[in-house]
Amino acid sequence: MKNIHKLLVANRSEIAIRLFRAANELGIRTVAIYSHEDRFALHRFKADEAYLVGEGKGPVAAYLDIPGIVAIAKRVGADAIHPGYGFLSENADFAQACADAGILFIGPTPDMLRTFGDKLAAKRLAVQAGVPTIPGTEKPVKPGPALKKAAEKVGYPLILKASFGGGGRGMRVVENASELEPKLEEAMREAGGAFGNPAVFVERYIRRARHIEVQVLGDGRGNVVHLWERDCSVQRRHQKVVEIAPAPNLEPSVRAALCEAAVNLVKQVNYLCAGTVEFLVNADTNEFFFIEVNPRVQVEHTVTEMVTGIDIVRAQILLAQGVPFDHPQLAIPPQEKIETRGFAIQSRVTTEDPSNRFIPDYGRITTYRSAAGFGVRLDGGTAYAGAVITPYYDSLLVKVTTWAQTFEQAIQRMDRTLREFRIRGVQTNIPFLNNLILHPTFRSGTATTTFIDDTPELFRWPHRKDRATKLLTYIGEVMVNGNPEVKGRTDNRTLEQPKVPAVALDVVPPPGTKQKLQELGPRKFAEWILTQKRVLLTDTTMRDAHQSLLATRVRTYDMLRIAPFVARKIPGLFSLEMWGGATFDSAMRFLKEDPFDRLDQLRAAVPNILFQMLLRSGNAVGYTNYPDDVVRRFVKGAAEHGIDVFRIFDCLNWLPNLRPAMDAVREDTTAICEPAICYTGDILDDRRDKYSLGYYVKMAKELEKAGAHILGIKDMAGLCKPYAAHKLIKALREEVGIPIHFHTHDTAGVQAASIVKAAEAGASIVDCAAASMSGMTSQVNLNSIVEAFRHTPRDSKLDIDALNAYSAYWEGVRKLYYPFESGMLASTAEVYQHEMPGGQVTNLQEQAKSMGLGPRWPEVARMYAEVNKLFGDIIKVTPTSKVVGDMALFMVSNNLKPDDLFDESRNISFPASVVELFEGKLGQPQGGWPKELQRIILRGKTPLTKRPGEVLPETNFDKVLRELEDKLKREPTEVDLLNHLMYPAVFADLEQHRRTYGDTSILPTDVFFYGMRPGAEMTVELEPGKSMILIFLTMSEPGEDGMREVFFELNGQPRSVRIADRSRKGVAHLHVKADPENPGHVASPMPGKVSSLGAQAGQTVKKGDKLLSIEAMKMETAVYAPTDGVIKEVRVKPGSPVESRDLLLTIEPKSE
Amino acid sequence: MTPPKGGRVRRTRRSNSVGGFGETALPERSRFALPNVRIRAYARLRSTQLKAIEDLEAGRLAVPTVIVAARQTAGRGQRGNAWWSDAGSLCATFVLPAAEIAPGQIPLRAGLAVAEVVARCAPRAAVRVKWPNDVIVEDKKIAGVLCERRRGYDVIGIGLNLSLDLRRAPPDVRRGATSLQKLGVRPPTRGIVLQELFRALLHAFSRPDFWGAYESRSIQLGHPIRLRTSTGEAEGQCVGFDDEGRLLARCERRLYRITESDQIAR
Repeated sequence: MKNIHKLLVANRSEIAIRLFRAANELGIRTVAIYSHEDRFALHRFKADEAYLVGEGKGPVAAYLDIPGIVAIAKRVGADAIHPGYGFLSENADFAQACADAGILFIGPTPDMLRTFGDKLAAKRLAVQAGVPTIPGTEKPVKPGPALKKAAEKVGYPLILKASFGGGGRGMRVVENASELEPKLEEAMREAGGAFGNPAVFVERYIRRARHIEVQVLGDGRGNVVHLWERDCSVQRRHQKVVEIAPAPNLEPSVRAALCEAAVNLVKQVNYLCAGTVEFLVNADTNEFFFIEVNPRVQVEHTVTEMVTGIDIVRAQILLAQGVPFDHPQLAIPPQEKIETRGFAIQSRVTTEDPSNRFIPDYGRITTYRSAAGFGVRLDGGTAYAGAVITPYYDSLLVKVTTWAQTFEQAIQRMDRTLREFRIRGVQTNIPFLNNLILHPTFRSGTATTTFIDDTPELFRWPHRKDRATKLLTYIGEVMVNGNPEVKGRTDNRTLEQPKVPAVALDVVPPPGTKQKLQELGPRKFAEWILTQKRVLLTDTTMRDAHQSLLATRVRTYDMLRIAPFVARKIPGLFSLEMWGGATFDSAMRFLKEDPFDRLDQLRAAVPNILFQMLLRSGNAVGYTNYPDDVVRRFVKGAAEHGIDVFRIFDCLNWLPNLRPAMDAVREDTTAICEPAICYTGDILDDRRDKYSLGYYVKMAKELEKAGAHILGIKDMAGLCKPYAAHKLIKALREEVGIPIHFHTHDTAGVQAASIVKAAEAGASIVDCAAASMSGMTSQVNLNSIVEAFRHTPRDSKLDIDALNAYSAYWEGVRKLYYPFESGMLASTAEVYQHEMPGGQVTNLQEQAKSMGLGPRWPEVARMYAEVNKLFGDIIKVTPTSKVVGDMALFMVSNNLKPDDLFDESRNISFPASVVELFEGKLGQPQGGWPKELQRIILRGKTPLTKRPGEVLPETNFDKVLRELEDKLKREPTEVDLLNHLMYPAVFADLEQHRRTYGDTSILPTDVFFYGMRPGAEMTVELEPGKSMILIFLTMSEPGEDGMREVFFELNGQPRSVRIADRSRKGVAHLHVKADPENPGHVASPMPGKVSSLGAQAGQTVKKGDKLLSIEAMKMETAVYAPTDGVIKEVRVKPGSPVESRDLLLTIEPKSE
Repeated sequence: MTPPKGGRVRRTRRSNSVGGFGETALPERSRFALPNVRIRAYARLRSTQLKAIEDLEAGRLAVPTVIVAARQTAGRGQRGNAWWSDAGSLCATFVLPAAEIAPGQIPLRAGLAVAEVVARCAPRAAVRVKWPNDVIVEDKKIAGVLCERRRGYDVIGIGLNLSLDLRRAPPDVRRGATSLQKLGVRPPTRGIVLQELFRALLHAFSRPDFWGAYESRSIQLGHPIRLRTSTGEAEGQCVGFDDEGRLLARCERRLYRITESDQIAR
């Protein structure tokens, strides 16, 4: 017996470390060798001594440098060498060189290595031992009479194999004799072509094969034991991926026969040390065949150790020294006492990108948190945060082995363990491994060698970019490229987080109007309203106020923070207007939030005050007419998610348009139906008799008859002056029996008086906004109105301190939204001239500026009034107000005067929205359209006289749901459906945003719009009980690929994201993807460069016209116009690089 | 199939196969037949590729078609480069219905098809593919492929050197080109080569094991390559190809997706 003092490990990474551990436990000093490329690798530091090997030889060759390794061993006094697996482990010359140098080689003798290295010699050995080998011909076969006989001897099905095989070439499976000759000719031809050698052998084909191997130990004196088997059937391209011990679902008789065969085979050579005998087992017949012997430690030896308790590496070291099995240091029991207990599974975690065809990934590991716990064993290589993965070696990062009492439990433990890992910075195959071990085939223990190839679903997994990384990517994107919503409108001002007034959250909000409505139902509730002496107040801060002042940009985040305060401190409000109008579109389009999420979350926070929304009758919350069934479904959904008051208006005050939405509310919900009359004109001015007091009274009566619970007066432009308000409400009070709800905008600055007069005349409810969010185009000041009625019979009894704290909060919030402020400094009486709705004034100003008409704004405002007159003095509210605005801009920019429109020789091409309006696509105005103008605008088209919703086809919701499921790749919820029905393209963008960045609505508003400042710390609550603490550190300069690296500290750990800097033109391009739903979007079919461009903006094209060519990979692909139309925008130039599906140009399709 | 002198000879063969157009419509054992395929042979053309595209755009082409010319006077290479040829080169353009794969894979698959035909003709030669589709034997180019996609059709132009007389070739061609004859192989007839190319193309466009086959023929995979980047040249390594047909190169810590062969210096 030879005693080892110092052991050199001729290997690297995880196996080297594994061997050092075993040696260390035996009290042996350890020596590592490392290549130049491995000078920072972990195994170097795990040994007692480490030496550079194979200098100048290259990363792999260094570890194959036999003389170099032996020289180091001799120089440093190592008396033994362990080769591990791979590299020199099966190299007989190396074993010989060690022996010649008087160094103990831990492994079989050189002769044994030679025998098992020669496939034919090994096969002969198997035949001698009576171990079955795969039947096959020993010599190449040729077509002819002998062929059939040879084939029959081998047995069908069989496989034809080229002698110099590889890559499947020259291989053919033959099922029966009739296929034999033709397939042989094919195989020979292919083999001849591919390898220049047409020699083909015949072998038995095993369709469903399991790869089972038996671990053996020998003492070199004829004693051999086996440690049972491992199932290594799960392989990818002949690489084992997951291994199991013992093999599940293996018949005991087969198991016993395999182990016996393995022992008999290696006994022939008096095997020494550890070895593995590999077999193929036919899963259908249980026949088994010998493949080869691996005379070394295997990667997957861990699973055997876990189930037998025997340390295989320790055994190797001791057996090589001549220690007998029963020596106390070794303590290998007699064969009959060697048992397996439970099941062990090993997964090889590699730095390969499974979504990119397993390309090895390199780079620095930024985060490494490994798993642990009962039944988990990790054999890691260079795996720690900060480690650099180099491209020179095998990509194995860590072997994860789990043990449990049953196979299923071991799978559960493996699943948990893999999920517990957090590895960032390099891609790993963990998602693939997770899919694999959870697959029913694997779980049932019936996987065969083709399992991975035959199971494409293993390669599909939800893109598991973690939430933190997604949010970091978003924040990085904002800091590198800016949020497009505020781009060019920001200065570098310091922003403070708005302070939320304190409120005890454990206090249950007192009951309010919500409970009253639940108790009474809508009709009785309306009667209750009429009994109220106090003026009832609606707070519009969360809807109309920010829609009018801040372009509808206020985020759910800021509403949610104050919501508990409102519920507890201002519970006496009649309602909160917080949904509908433009907020639905804006939330999805600009704020990237789901409007239904806003509703749900606010509802949970405010359980006691009525929630009110603005519904644009047949346009719901959009700008076009939806089919009636869509509107109905939307109303039902909104009510289910918490809307109590539906204020419904029609942009032309046309009753037929209002009816379907009113019916939906009344029939399908228990909410309040509040149709609203849009107020325009001036009932005090006798010359404007189109919208007279009589007109409003008549309409009010009709609405009452149609089932309104409350009558809304919607003075969207703030035209209802104090005395007009008094006159109107007084008349209405006399004529209708339902409560009146008065809404106005304070654009002119006198509307507080209108509110007071309206209330005096009998309006039950009035709309106001928190002081700091009131005035000008918004509503009247809530706080002041409350005080105005104080100590009068109509005292609202609301708490002014609470209201002032509420206002102070919104003042702080408003500062965060400064880029959206209109810059309007004072109220204006101009509104009486142009009659623009509150929300439109600033919008139209913006539009005018973008068309270069900024300095001509007074002209635009005057033209707006002119257009209104031309159109016959119509109601102007979304969307009709937008049409009037479009027309005004059109006329000013084209220098047209009203008379010019009637000059038909000018052949004016009117804006599309104007044509649609006169076609009746938005409904019919009071008194009809001016006939002459309508004729000129429509150019012979026949206008609609029916309600637009009536002519739209019914919706096939099932079909829409199916299409949506295809798009979303998941089962759509009702909310998904409603969002999609309202705004299909915007919703798709929102989905894309959420896939890329996660739910950004949880970010504070300043971070959402402006990113973070260096050193700033932020806590984001991902979900209750899970928050991330984030500090922004710094940002790199853009690299040559135009990418910047943004560095953060996340929960105390360094993290970074790489973001394309789009300001660097020509390097990182703004790749906007084409919308496949949009018929005018032309997408790039492939990545490459634009090689020729024959299209320009403004050009008229026909379907099929060639627009441009993309060239890449020596392939030119022509792109054709998908539709007739006019090219609106060309986004590329010759030479522009493009990606697949990039938007190349847009075509405005020719309208029918 | 020796083309007659001058003029255009139209040889259209139609089979009565019911399988329609597809791989199965080709009988395994027939020697010269390309059922359902129109062959247009010309004695002299500016370029078969140009002709195919002109005819396709003009709606004068029934597909599938092979256009073949005995001589090309203005053969096309990549990006308007000339493709030098003489009487010993096979110049053919195949027009097929667009394959249902990412367009970027078409040139790679076509290149593999040509390489496999060359390998069958020259069994002893190590026939490799240089991304995207140069067919290389012993460091010299034996075939080139040029692809275009037009109006729902793939137009695959192939130049294959059967027996080039390189003495008359320009110096760069002489240095960098080879032919079957030079490799010591007696070239098969043009008809057989055309038929093999056609079958190989169909096979290559549909085979599920394409990537394995392409990778094993790749001259670059796993080897260092030199990239031309915006700031100069850099050493990288070819680590694979993506599903869009791009070459993936790792350079320092970065993965580059290469679309143009001139982004690779060598």
